[in-house]
Amino acid sequence: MAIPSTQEITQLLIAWNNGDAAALEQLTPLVQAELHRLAKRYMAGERQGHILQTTALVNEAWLRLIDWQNVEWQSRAHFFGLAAQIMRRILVDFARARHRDKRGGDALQVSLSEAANVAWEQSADLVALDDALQELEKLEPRQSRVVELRFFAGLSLEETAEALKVSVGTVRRDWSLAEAWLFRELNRKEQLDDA
Amino acid sequence: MTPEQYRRVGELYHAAMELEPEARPDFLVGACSGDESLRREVESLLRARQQADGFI
Repeated sequence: MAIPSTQEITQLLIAWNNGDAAALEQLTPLVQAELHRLAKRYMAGERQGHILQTTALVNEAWLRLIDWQNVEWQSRAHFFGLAAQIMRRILVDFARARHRDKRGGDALQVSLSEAANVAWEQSADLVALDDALQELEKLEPRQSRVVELRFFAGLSLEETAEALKVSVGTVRRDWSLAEAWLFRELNRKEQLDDA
Repeated sequence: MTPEQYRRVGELYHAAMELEPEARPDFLVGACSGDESLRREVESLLRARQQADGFI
């Protein structure tokens, strides 16, 4: 399948947003393919052993997206901004559930039951990252959004700039400082946990 | 830290990043004009930056 252009996706999103139900049928496979690609890229990243199954993630992401029909879609970048939030919620919810399960031994009731292979260490990392991102949001909300878009939706610097309507240079600076800040926060937490 | 303090830390961080690494300590001593906690905060983030590549 040819990779659809930004314009095609945007037009379909706008058509769907304006009540054209057929546009959603055309859009669904395109968005699924795109999300699949993004999720694969995310899973293939630094986190060896993070075996959350891509298909389960993508299906779950799409199911949650469908519930968001009242959201105004402005563009592909806007859409993936929403996708990033959804992916963050899915991954962190899942990691928290794993975290609780390891601590308390309770039976797990998560919708991603087929993908129950997130390694313990990785779950803890993801929960810590989510916590730190919430702290960063209080200091500088845009930096938190930059990390969310880049990490949870796999957007490039340029796509992130488009989604946030700022310059690429601003995104690059936000990312540089946010990554340093998060790295320090997570290591500080680790030291406290080890103490 | 307050958002205002973080914004100030960010300004100095980005200004320092524009400089060669060996020029950064002197720059920060001057720019922080005696505010030691501000200087330590920026230096700690610059150190974190060196280790943080690709961690997320």
